This record gives sequence, C-alpha cells and structure tokens, in this order.
Amino acid sequence: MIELKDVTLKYSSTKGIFNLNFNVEKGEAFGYVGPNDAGKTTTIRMLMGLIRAGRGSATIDGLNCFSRASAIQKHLGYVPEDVVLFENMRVKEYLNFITQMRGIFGQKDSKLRDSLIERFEVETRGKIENMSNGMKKRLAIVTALMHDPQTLVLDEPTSGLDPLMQSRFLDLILEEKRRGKTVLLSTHKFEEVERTCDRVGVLKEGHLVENMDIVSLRAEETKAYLVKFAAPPNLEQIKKYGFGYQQFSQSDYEIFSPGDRIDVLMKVLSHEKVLVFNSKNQSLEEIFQKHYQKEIKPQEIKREVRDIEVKPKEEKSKEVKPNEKKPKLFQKKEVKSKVLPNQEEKVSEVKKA
Amino acid sequence: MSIPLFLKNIKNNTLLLLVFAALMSIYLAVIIYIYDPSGVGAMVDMMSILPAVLVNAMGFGTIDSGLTGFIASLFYGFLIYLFPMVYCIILANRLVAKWVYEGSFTSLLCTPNSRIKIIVTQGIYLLASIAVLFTVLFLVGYGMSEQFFPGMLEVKVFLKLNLGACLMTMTIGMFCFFFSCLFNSTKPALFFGAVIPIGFFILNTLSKLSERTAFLGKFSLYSAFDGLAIVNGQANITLIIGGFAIFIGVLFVAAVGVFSLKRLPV
Repeated sequence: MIELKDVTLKYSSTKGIFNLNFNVEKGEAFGYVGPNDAGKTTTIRMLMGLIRAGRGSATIDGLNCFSRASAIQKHLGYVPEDVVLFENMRVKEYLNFITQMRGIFGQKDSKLRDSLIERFEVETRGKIENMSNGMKKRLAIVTALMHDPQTLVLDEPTSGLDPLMQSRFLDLILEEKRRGKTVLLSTHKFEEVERTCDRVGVLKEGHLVENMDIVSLRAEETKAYLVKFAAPPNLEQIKKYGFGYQQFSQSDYEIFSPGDRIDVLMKVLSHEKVLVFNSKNQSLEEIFQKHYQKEIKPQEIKREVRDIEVKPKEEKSKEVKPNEKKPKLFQKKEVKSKVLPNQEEKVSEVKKA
Repeated sequence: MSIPLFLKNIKNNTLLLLVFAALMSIYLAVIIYIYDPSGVGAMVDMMSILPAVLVNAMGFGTIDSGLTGFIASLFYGFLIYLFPMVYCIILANRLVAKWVYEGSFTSLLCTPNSRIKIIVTQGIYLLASIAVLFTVLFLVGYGMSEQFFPGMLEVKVFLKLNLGACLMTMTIGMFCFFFSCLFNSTKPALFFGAVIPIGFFILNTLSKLSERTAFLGKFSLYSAFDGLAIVNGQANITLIIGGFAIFIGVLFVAAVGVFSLKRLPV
C-alpha cells in the first residue's frame, strides 16, 4: 500500500509537488496522470527514495520512503521513464548482477525471469550499449518484475515500446493486479488508464486536482461520436434527449453524449439509418481537459455541450465558435485517428504471424 | 558492503589500476636499476648541472647514498605525488559521480541496498585499490633490489615508506571521493577533486624553493609525508600514519553523510 500524507517537495515556489494526499490500496491500480512538468516523476522519485520529501510523510507498506528505501525495494518493482543501465554490461550479466544485488546468489529459480524475457522478446546476447531504446525499456521491465514484487511503480512504462509490446505489458499489469499487486502507473495515455486502473489521480502544477474512480470518471466525461447518416436525421429527437451535436455536412455529424447516457444515445440512433458510427479516440488531454484547466468545472463542460445543442441551425462558420478550443481539438483528433488504426493493424498482423 | 557491487567495481576498474601499477612499477624498477652502490656520483653530477632551485623543488635536493635513501629521494620525493593523484581523481569520479550523472546509479538504488551500503562499498574499493597499488610497488621495489643489490635494501624502512605514501594517497583519494559524492555532475566533481590535490602539490613544491616560502608547506597535505625523513629516522611514522588515518576517516564519513542525504538528480 502506498500512502502520501501532505507531501511537499519544492524545487522552487512553483516547481515541485505540494500537499499531496493520496493512497493506493493493496490490490489497487492507480493511474497517475497530468501534463508534462506537473510533478509526476518527482513524486515517483520521491517514492523511490531518490529525493527526500521536504514536508509530510510518504510510506509504502508502512515504511518511510526515504529512510527505509532499501527495505521497501525488497518488494518493489520500478520501471523508470528514462532507462539508463550499465551500458558496458551484457544483458545476461546485467540481469545476474541485479539478481545478486537483490541478495540472491547461485542458480536459484529463474523461471519467472525467463518467462519475462520470452514474453518481452528481450535479446539476451550482446551488450546493452548496442540496444535500441525500446529494447532497453523491455529489459528494464524484466528487471523490475523478475523478483515478483508486491508493489509496482511504473513511470510511463510503455513509452518507447511498439504497440504489440505495449499491449503485452498492459496485459501483464492486469494479471499482476488480479494477483493482488499494488500498482502506481504514471502515463499520458488514457487507454492505459482505462484498461488497467481502478482509480485516477490528476496532477497539475504539483497539486492533485482530481482523485476519482474510473466509473465516476466515465460518467462525468463527455463522449464524442462521428456519425454518418444515410438520410437526414431527426435532429429534434437528438436534441430532446439532451445530446449535443455539430454538423459537418448533410450527412456527417459529431454527436456529444455524457458518459453515463450512451445507452440512451443508442436507443435514439436506433431509429435512424446510420451508415458509420465511430467513437472518437480521445486523448487523455481532451478527456481530462477540465481537470488540466483547473478553473473549468465539470458543469461548465456540460453547459458547453448544451450551448452547441441550442444553436444547431446556425451557419457552419459560427458553429466552430462556441468554444474556441474545439477546432484545435478536432485537428488533433483527426491526426490521431489516422495514426491509430494503422498501429492496430500492425498489431493484428503480428498476432496472426 | 555489497559484494556483487565490489566485484563489479573490480571488473570495471582493473584496467585503470593495471595501467597505473605498470607505469609506477617501471619507474621504480628503472630507478633501482640505475643505482650505483659505489657512490651516487653520476647522479650527483647530473644534478649539479641543473639549477639548485629546480633540483630542490623536485625533491632531489639531498641524495642519500644508501639504496633505500636513493629510492626515497628519487621516487618517493616527487613521482609519488603525481601518478597516484591522477589515479585518485579518475577513479573517484568513476565510482560515484559518473554513474550518478549518467543515471545508472538509480539501478543500484532500486535494489534492496541502502545508499550508505552502496557508497561505503565504493569507498572501500577506492581504498582497497590504492592498497593494492602500493603492495605492487613494494613487491616490485623489494624484488628489484634483491635481484640487483641483494641485502642492500632496508626492508623495514622501505615498508614504512610505502605505508606512509599509501595512506597519503588514500587521503587524497578520499578528498576526490568526497567531491564525487557531493556533486551530481562529473564536471564539478572532477574540478574540485583535481584542484585540491594539485593545490597541495603546488604548495609543497613552492615550499621547497627557499627558506622564505617554506611556510607554504604547512598548508599542504603532501608536506606531512617526507620520504627522506622516514629513511633518516627523523619522522615519526606512527604519527604520520595516525594523522592520515584520521583524515581518511573524517572524509569518508563526510562523503557517506553527504551522499546519503542529498537529492539525486531527476
């Protein structure tokens, strides 16, 4: 169990982490998200005992993260964001070295280690300095998990991994969670949080601005769908049930729905002739935007949706206006949706192979 | 102390140790080889050509006629400061600051070993490797003397000479080690690790130039070790060794303390 109480660690008056309070219970996976420079890595390095908290207490399994760091490390696996290993060592040599540093000598049971090596297809011959960043990250994952730790602290563990490996890693996290492991996952990718975590904490400028479970987060978030109709839809009906929309052409619409009303939207659309129904791949920034911009309250987002709903028949040029941030988001989303399907194809190709 | 880490240090730094041990052994062997028991005539002649100030500065001012004194003035008077100093600067940097700067030190701390245990291991390796260096020197000196001038080397005195020089080098090494632990980047660690021993060396050299600069020697650690005084029996070797040992202990504790509390770089 990871516990932070009023933890403050300042680099300057605005940089660092301030009055952090959160717990990650045993067997729980906690998604730790936030924009760059929010203090996620600082928090994690503080948990790893690399830096001492200025104020407050941080404990893992009841042990102080700074003074009892070595005791904590016995049952902890850590994947750092930037992996730096001993470059001049060979992979096997490095793994043996770390195993020995963990106090295990001789040829003890290395089944878990071997299965991890196989699972992440780590090349065990050759020197670390000749490995790609992705391979180094995979090696770091093997190193972090090979002693079957009770607590996992993961700092953007999938960055630098190809989609196949990302997927394998997330599966592994889920397995570990089922086995009762405690997981702290810092990430930028919403899919990862969505897939593995029970609860999410949003960090902004060193402050925890949100700490909620995934179910209520889903309910609060506004989902967007790209819909193509064969015939002009009954917009009155869509409006009546409180859904917002934006019209791109005669048949193309983007429809907004609160996360807990998707079933209602389905029912409404079942009366229409729908050709295409795509859920937009929303990035973490988009979904958490209201959290990232602390001033904006959840209600305001819902109001925005209603604003759009109120002016459906206005000219297209005006339609873009209601929220100035929207156009930017659209562009971003389009780029993303172009990239993602390709990656998924690759995954399925590899899986077939 | 962590044994796997100690073994890794050996693996990483043996080449460095070998290079310095070989260089110094060759010097020492050559110096013993050129010794002329019938009098140090040739050497004295050569020295008389050079300006007296320079000869003094290099510590060759008084050349003893015995073999031990000859070695003490030619090897333990000048070279003994330079080579080990460079060795200490390089090694201390490689043991701590380099890994911290690169980031690979994190992988050590992500094992169930405390910072204190890890840094003590690094410090012990530094001291141990210096001890090995001087053991090699002692054996080479003893072997060469027995080979060419059997029975002429005063073994006990030669041992004291090496012991004193060894502890002096360890003290210098601990200075470098302290700065290696203090800084998170290699540049300042190397800079301060080099400036201090070089400063001691310059002060020591200047102090030998004339009577009027002699006071400078008081500020130099190197002045505490005087090879010829040990040979002549003027120096109290117990006092020298004890003094250096205290220095080493204090610096080691300071280095461990600084390292165990500091913020490692993000």
